[in-house]
Amino acid sequence: MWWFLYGSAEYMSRLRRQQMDAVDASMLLLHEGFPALSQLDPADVSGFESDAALGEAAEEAFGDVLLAIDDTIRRIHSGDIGPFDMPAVVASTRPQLPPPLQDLLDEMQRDELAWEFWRDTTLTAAQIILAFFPILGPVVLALGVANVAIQTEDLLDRLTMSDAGGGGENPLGVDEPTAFEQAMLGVAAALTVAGVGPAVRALRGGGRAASTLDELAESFPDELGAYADDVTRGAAGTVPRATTSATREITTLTNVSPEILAAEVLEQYVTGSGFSGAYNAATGDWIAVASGPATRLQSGAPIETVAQFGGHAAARSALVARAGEMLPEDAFGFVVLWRGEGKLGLTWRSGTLNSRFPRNAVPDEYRDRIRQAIARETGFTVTAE
Amino acid sequence: MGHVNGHSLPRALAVLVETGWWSATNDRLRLNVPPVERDTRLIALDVPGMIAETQALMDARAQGAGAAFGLVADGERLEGLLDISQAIVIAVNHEEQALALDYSLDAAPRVLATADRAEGVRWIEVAPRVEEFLEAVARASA
Repeated sequence: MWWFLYGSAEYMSRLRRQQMDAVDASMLLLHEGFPALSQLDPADVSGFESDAALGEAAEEAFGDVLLAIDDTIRRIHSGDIGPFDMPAVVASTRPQLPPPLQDLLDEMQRDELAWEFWRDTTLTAAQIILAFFPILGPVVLALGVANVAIQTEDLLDRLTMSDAGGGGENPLGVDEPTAFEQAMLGVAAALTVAGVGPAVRALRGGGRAASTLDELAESFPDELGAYADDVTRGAAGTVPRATTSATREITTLTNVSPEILAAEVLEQYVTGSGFSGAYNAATGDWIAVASGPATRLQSGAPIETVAQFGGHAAARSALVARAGEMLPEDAFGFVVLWRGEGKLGLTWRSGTLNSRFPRNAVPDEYRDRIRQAIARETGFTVTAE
Repeated sequence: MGHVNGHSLPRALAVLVETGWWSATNDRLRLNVPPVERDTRLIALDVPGMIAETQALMDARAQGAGAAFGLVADGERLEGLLDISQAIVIAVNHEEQALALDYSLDAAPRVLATADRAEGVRWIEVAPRVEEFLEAVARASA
């Protein structure tokens, strides 16, 4: 009897396992044919009032999959996701290559893995070592943020690619980051944030720290230099990169915690160079950012500028980042033009900030206030044009 | 090269960009276009500049500033407004005034310029074809 009961239970258990395996296999086939279904939880498909409502949910899920695929394609094309981030792609490409190129591919893959390992290890080690030298706070901040930024980007790339797989085995050979990996990144970010307070204060305090980071950015390889640039820009509250390909900071003239002396900078620009400006009439704060392709250094070295359309919006954002919120009625747009030999010209139109005024121009009663504020800060002769 | 916002640059303009005649650094270029009440000179854009400034206008419209710049998009057609999805900005100044190629009516674009009106920025036709416009600029710059 006991033997019969045991045999029967064993048989039922095996049968149940086979049934479950069959269901899993069917679900895999279903997800392969209809990836949108992998985005729906069981709870998602119950409780719908009608088939039409269920159809809408399925359509939305399908849209999510398509968006993830689009995003992945865009990031692959832009080079954000490299070929070696997609093991399945490398594996399927390898057999199609002649043997010498297969060896070369293997070597490139080994180099890529080694580069990633040493990049992460070196940044972390440098961050730890430099943390013992308080005077190098901004450097530690840059290294820490660069490290977290790189790890975050890698992790987000993997998330994007795994989402695009639509469930089942990922066609790119990419696994979703585990909860452990995500938690460890969170810890790294928290440690970096805990250590950046003094560094951020140093950055806000003046030009010395900012120039330290500038030098740091220059001494890094391009990829890391760009991150350090972002750190400099973010911490100092300046504007994002816009039009040119160089990884330099956009020259910013301002009377709010300036990092550079206008006199030292403007002499290096060709006459006629322009800066899109924003003025807060409530506080007297102003800022102007280098804009447009005609704004160039005499040396011919590449510089970054913001687009001329939207240049005043960028200036306004930069001013808000430095000095706090500004009411729309207090915002005025203007243009600073470098005329050479210690002279600046001002013009008064802005489609973005002055559209409430005739001809998009700053009213006469505000012009002299702006002119005086800029003359006071720069020490230049400033005239309205 | 020569493709901006999904449109090909007209051949005449593409050649002038390529040779550096249509460029920010050509001091002999005189872009005096009557509807533009300019205080600073219009700057001729190269292809990366056209892409950046066209994108900047698309961003401005997406962020709600379409009315300030007289913009519409996606096939909407209103007199005096520019369908930025069918346009290429080819010159601009610091005061956010511009010249644009408008492809909304024909594959051979017309040339529009901004004009400040009481009701806001409006886009006015300055030449029905690029070739005519470039000819006029060349004469003024000679």
